Amino acid sequence: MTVTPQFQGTHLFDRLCWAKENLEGVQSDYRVVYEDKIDECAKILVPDPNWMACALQGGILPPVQVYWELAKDEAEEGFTKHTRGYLLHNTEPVEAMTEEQALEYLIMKDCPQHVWRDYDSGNKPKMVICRKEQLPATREWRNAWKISEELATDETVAA
Amino acid sequence: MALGKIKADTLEHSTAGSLDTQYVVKGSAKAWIHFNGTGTVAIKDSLNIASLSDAGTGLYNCAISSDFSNANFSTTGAAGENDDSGGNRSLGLRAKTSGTQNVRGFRDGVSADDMVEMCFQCMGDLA
Repeated sequence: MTVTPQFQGTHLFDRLCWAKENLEGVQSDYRVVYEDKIDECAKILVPDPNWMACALQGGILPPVQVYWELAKDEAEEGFTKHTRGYLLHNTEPVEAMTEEQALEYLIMKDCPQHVWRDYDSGNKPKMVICRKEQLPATREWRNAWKISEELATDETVAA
Repeated sequence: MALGKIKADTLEHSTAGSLDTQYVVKGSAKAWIHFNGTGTVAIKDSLNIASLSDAGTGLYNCAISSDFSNANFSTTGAAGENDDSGGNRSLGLRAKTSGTQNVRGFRDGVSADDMVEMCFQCMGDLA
């Protein structure tokens, strides 16, 4: 089994290069279907295989809160460039995750917060994690896909 | 694995001159992705990418792992169908932040479309 070097303090990009050279990519069978705007179709988040390998390996990725901090900085008026990039590199990396935990991390990193903070509080869910076989087999009417209002685990989640 | 390190400011060829290593560091792509935008969208290979969101016909939102220092990084890309027939395909750039780049695939420069071969790379300074 490949042992992750002690990476705290190493630039995140260097860690990702190490991972690409030393870890096999992991194609996830899962997808995250979410609706972030009422007048737009459902979006489908695909985890990157190299990123997923890093998440499962552990000791490489920074805590997700680091990305929130950087996003806050970027949203400030007058932002010109990141001055707290060290958070990505110096914060203690997260331990190995399960695939489910990795998906939760990715949702909190790459989906809008208003989607995942109250994804199940409205009349219908705004976000669903599904297996990729549960997505429609063809992309016909792709721009009209919405999350199905009545969901069962063995059914297609978007149509 | 030991992390070997060579520190050098210059690379020198025996006859062809020398190159400041800053050219290599600053001039390399810091993030790239190659994905299939048809069917159930799938990432074929990448570097420094966390996820890709299929946002509709021809629309894809890409999230980066190690953010750029700001949104002024440079992106170039291409789209195609691994096929010599049909019209011209291209890849357009849409919104971006220091950690995201959204793109759109076009057929004949007009209509958004999904394509088998979609790829782009980003160059710039990392945070």
